[in-house]
Amino acid sequence: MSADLDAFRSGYLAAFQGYLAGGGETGLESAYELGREAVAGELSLLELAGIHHEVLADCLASAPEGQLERVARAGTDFFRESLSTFEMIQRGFGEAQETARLEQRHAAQLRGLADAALALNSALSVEEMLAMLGERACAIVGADHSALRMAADGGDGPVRPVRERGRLIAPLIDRDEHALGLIELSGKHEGEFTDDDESILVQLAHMASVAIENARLYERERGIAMELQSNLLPEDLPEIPGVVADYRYSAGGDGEVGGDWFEVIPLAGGRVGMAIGDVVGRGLPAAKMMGHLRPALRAYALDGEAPALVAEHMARFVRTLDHDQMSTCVYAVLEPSTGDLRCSNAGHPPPLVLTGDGRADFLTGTPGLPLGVTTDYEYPELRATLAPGSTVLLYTDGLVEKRGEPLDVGLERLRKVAAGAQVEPLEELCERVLGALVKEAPGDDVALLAVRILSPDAGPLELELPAEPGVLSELRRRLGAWIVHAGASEQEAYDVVLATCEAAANAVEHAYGPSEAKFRVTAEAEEGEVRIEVRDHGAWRPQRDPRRGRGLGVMRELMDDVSVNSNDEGTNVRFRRRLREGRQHGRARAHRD
Amino acid sequence: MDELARIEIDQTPRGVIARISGEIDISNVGAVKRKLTDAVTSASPGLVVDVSGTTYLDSSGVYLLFELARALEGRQQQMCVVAPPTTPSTRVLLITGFDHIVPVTGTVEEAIEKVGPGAPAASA
Repeated sequence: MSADLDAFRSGYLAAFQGYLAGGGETGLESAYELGREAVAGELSLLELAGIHHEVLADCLASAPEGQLERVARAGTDFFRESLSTFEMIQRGFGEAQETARLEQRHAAQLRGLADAALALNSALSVEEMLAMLGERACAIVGADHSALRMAADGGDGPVRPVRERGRLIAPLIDRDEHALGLIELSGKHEGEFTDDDESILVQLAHMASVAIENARLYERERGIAMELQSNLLPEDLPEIPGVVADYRYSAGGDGEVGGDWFEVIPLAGGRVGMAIGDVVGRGLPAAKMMGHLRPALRAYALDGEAPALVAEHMARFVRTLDHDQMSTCVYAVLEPSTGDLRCSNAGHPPPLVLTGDGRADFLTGTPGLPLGVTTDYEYPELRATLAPGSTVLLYTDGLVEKRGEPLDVGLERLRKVAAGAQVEPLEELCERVLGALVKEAPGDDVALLAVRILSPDAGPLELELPAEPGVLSELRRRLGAWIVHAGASEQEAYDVVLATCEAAANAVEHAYGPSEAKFRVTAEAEEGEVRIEVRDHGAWRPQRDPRRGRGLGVMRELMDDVSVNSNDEGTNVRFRRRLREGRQHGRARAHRD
Repeated sequence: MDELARIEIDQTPRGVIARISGEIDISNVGAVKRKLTDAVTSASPGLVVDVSGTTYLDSSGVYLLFELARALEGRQQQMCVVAPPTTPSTRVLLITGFDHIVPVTGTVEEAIEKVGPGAPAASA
């Protein structure tokens, strides 16, 4: 009997495919024939319906996107036709038609389910998924209302579907069979909820549960990683007398949290601790590791230990952690008043020291082992004496490493970019170095930390210059270098130089008397404020010359408390400018921008 | 001209483009003015002064640009200054209100649109 059924099934499939391909009357005739065959073969209605269902399912599965509706409708017509002979003998026509209608409805529901699966998996958040779930369930089952209830953590809800008068409830259950919540439908369009409705809703609820659970896990992990990352990137570096510091952080291309971190710590006796580190790897494990390393280093540093000892403590500490990640780290202590720099290096690229006269040298020496390799290791200490105006650059390997290239080449590239420059504000230096070495799409994370010693006596700048137009460019250079040492930002340096040179230009143009006229410029920096005085031996007449008025306007616009005093001895211009941007101005790039 | 500023002149059918790199202060402002004035013949539709490469521009430089624009206007010629937002010279042009008197644009292309043949005549 089953051999007969198989043969009938093959015939049915071929006939239905022919009908799908050709359509029209001829196609339906074959359906009519099939009905007769079924009667002759003494197939039951159930068997005929079963075969039709199998054939239709096959055809739906292989139907191209967009053809499902047509195939399903054709299936109904074809089945109805094949039944038309059959029903006269077996059952009433009405019942057969009802079966076909249900068949079509079920196909539409399955299609709705597939669409919903796709939509759920492309939803961005759990909220979005929940909203979508209710909407889709109503549409697929044909109900007016949906209600979603999410269980509180550990809450218990139904774990089996419930079908009662006017209501259909399916549970949302996670992998561990814990209730996530439930979805309830009511207001069925036609009649009561059926077995099919229940099975569809259960499947939909199941798919949604998986999607919701995945989304929650992802959101949670991402949230933790972000939180950790925000902890490892200081918003502002601390203000420490005698130094200025700036940093840049540039996130790698893939949007994952990287393993780079850094730290600037004010220490007892006016010393400055600075550190940079890199945990091998990315994502949550790397972020977690950093979350341990940063406070640990801070604690050891605040204890006042020498850099080599801090590195030893860190190495021991890392071995106690339940992660087998390696990490590298540089820790240095700078004494701003003497320029004494002591440093330990645990497998990290060497710090670069820039002097005020444009030299750039790596602080090399025996490199120590990375953290996490062994607990019993004595780290060597590197020492250097830095002149005022020198800058220590700490960075992570993303700045110098390139695939398929020896590290030396990258280091030399960094040295060349950083060397030779006039003293420039730190933000300019950081931007320039990052811009030159990290091309548009950085593969790895890059952290860059720059710490500069200001002149210990940040003493006033006193210049006496001949009252000639040609000296103004010299004044710009000397004042520009001085004000950078005083800790001004790029914009502040520009503004102060412009205002001072406007005053100086007036002094030059209005210098009277003996041929050897001179003017004086005094600049002082104290407590985050710059004070400038330009004094000449001429006299101003601001009202009568429109050009003079413009110069004074520029000064007033850029500086605070501009005063101009003239008497028999000459003219005196004074103004002040608060360095209100503070001394540090770190900026993180990419994601944090 | 001294080393402080370098001026590149580009004579195009749509106007003269002068690119100034370096610094302008009272020591060279006169020379810069002469060079710019000489570059614009009466046949030129107008002048574009590109200060995007000018690292220092003081009020004497701004005044020079203002005088130049006024002189050209008297000859029915247009002038436009190119100063992208991030360049140092832009700050002083804004502080002095220069951009209210003479058009300032971010690119040479926009500037040439303003001075070239067919550009609307200055209303002021």
